[in-house]
Amino acid sequence: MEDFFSLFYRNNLYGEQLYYHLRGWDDAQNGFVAAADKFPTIFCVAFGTAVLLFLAYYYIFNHPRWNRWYHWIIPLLMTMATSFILGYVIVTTDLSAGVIAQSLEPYIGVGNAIMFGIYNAVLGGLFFFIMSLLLRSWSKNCKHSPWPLLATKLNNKGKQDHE
Amino acid sequence: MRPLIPLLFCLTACINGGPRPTATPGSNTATSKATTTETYSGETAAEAIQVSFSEHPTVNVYLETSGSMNGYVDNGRSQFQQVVFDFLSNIKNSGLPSEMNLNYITDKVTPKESDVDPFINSLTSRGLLTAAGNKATTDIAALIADILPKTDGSTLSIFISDCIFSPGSVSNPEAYLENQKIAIRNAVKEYIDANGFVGCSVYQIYSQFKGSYFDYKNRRSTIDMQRPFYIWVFGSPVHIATIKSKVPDSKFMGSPVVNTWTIVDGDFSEFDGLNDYGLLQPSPTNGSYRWVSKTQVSNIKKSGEQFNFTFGVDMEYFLLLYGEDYAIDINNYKHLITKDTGEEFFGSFRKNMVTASPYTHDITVISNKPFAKGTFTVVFDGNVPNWVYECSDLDDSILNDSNCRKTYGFKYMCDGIYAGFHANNTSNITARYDFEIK
Amino acid sequence: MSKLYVFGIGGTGSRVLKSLTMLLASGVECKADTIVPIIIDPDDSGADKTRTIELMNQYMAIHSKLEDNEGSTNKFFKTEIKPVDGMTNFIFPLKNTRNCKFKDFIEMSQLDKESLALVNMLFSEKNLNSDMKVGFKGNPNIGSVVLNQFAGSQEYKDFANGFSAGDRIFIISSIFGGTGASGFPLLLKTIRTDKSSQAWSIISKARVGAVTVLPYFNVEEDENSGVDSATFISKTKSALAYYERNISQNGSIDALYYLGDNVKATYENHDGGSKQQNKAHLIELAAALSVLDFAATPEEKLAEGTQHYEYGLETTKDPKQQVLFQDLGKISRNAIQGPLTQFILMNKYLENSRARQSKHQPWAIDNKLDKNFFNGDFYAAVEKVQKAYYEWLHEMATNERTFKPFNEERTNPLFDIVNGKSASKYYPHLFTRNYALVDSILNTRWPNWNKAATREQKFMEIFYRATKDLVEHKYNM
Repeated sequence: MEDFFSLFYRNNLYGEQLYYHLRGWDDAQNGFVAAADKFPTIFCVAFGTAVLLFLAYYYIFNHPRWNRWYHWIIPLLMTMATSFILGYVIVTTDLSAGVIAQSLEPYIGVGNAIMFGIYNAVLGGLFFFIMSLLLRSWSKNCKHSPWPLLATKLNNKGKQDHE
Repeated sequence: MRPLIPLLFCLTACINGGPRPTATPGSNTATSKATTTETYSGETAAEAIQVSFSEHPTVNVYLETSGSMNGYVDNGRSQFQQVVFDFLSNIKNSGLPSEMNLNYITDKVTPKESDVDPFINSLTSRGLLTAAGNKATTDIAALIADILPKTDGSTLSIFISDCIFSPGSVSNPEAYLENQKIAIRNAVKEYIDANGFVGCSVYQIYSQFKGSYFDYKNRRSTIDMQRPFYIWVFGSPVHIATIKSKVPDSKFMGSPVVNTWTIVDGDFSEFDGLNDYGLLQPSPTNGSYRWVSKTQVSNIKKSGEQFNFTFGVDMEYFLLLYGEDYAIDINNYKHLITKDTGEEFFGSFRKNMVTASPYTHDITVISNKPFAKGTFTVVFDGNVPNWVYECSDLDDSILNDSNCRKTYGFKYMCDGIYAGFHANNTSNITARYDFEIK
Repeated sequence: MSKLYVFGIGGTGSRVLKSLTMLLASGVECKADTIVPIIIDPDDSGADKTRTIELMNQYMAIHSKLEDNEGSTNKFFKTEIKPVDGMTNFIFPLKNTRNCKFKDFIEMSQLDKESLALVNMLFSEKNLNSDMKVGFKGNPNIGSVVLNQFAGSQEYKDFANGFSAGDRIFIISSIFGGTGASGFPLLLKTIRTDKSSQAWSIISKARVGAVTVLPYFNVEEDENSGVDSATFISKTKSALAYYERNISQNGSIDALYYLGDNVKATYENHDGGSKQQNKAHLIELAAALSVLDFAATPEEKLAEGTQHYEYGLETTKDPKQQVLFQDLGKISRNAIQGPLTQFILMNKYLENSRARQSKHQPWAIDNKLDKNFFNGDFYAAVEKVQKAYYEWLHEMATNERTFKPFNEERTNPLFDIVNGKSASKYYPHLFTRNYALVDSILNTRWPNWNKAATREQKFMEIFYRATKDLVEHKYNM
């Protein structure tokens, strides 16, 4: 199960060693400790935030005066900001608490924390974006936010113009 | 410091049940890893050989008393006497031996006192002259062939000698040395076949030698200089390790241990806790790859100019048994291609600096080309160390600065022992590190 | 497919027809499927007539685009309005009234001495020299002569040819005017007695109703004008006497509605032409209601004999005060308050919000109500009707007796639009109020929606359903 969450983070964009740390690398075990795996939490919060904000924008708030593309940007940015803060804080907390494995510690710094925050922000934003693409068509007022549904466009293309 | 010795005793006690390799030549350790449980019970699938083992073996000491040894015991307390006394006393006091038997050996064994003190004190030239047997020449192979059958898991043999071959008046000294080597090889092979888990260990120590020196043609000269002598320990690797643990090199009094070499038969990897190893996480120093599990690595990419991956090894036991220099000598490691063939292993060692790590050293595997997918096995199959060749002489007629620290023909003895452990060109893998490259 | 032929005689007829059109546009229920208006007014350029014709033409254009929408619940523009086949602009043309003096019309110069003497007795000098192109200026004695041309005219024949069994006729006229007062009895006589058409037997037995409007306004004194409101009452009296004898008592009419008001506004004195543009009045709306009432009256009731009706407000208010919906009787109120409120909400939305919102609201995008649509003819017609509607309400609101059911001049907040009735709270949706609430309801995914409807049909349907929802929840109408 842990492998599923870490799949989203399995890359070298924010520091290979930081990946190992967040996955729960333990020097004494020379391996990953499931209990220390932070990716499930990080993923769930990022994804969960995206889901919540998606639902809030499209189905709870669902406001007819908030269906322009620049209104849509707001929950997107909120998702990204939350994800960034989450990622950044987790890493910097570990850094200052000194709980990073000795073998990884020299390679992890605040720069990595920032990069991870950015990566997580992009990931959260991506979740929000994909949900916006796929699941918005039932929204009464915001279904065409940020741009009209493809289905509607195709449907309308086929219609004859009445004069 | 982990409680290594009790650990070793525990596991070896279980070897009683069934151990190691079969008697068939050319066979190596069981390729399947021992199905060990958590508490080191070594139940292997291999055929059971009844091996005797005792936690407190009998220690038989054989002091070679050929004429060439006289120079070491030039009245009073020589360095030689001091070292031997100290060594034997320490062993006795360590609690290891159940009994200790002290003997002189030439072509016959002459039992002497069982007390070390008088044994040492009686080491005067006269004392040596009372040793029975032919003291004129030294047939090392015969000595070995005499001692080894008396050695097993319950009996430890300590052989103290200058280990100088005496071809004497043979026309072809080198042929003689070759024959000696072969005879030693055979003796060792029998020794291994008869016992499950055996080893040979040697200490090279220098002592002031004042007296008659007989060269390879048995010509006598009088010298007064530092000359090497050797203390061989034959027996179970557990006992050898116990001695090395209780009587470390640093504790040698009188004269320091200059060189050592140990060779054992048996794969320590089969025993949990003795040879822990695991892939380390990637880093700029460890290499660029993906850690899949302790023994699985994938996506090995170039790190700098080469392809690397690094694994950590708990070498505590190795360090004890072989000494650090030998244990981390890259030449003793091979990349195993098939069961018996290997090729040169490219890698590097460094100490593991991570406090919490279960490993003592990191081994980095290096390759100029990408690693092929599949298994990759690094094995430890120790060579005869360089110092043996450096300390081996083929002409000791004149002892000067260039060869005064050498022993005539010494390499043949070591080569013979080595060959015994590698009978029929098999490998003698003491540790293996298996990885799967994905 | 029952038809109701509505004759609107004179200026009052046109104005009542306009009120009727407004009511039908807003979706007030009409039992007849089709209204066939026929305007009888010699005043060619009468502004009231012009406005009414323009409005009815727009209505027709809109209605034609909304027909045949299966499953539609839309009631805006539901009833069909169409002219008699062959009639241009709904007008029953009166011959020889242009550039013609009355004395020439009756060919006075041809008359013998006895007839001439009679003529001089019946008609004043002024009458004889009247120019008739603007009507009979409050002189029914002239009108009754001129309007005798109904029978035998081609237009009457056209009307008769289109008449089927079950169709009804309704005549709107004012009793104090010139054209109306004379035209109504004449038209009725023609309907009942004319045998020149094929369908004369059906027509002569058809159900006929009429509303006769008593004086409800004065005109300013003007010596040069041929109209003098001081004579309105006396003329009314004489006309009423005539009606009693010749209409009510002889059973030639099935239902007669009388409407009048003692609160009178004073209009500018124009004796016709493009300047006779009287402001819309509550009476005209009441008269329009009488048309609908007649259409809804069951056959059995009419068979009982001539029905006579009056109209009253149900209020104790000072007549000088504004009449609101709650001052109307329950039947009228229930009939018109919902539809009119729906229509004004639509009006306000289209005027204040549509331009910005239709670019990105789902109700517009999903139904392809794009720039093309809103720049098209259909929408232009809708806007014209809405504009006329606003003017109609505004005129009634600034007239005397004032009928101001809406605060029509206000734009914000939207739901304060109903005068004297505050909107209930209605939050089907979080945080949406005012025009945003309208959008939210417009965006509803309606059930039983005809996906194959045209854009025009969908547009009207959406707005009907949305305004109905709002009116029900906000005003409980």
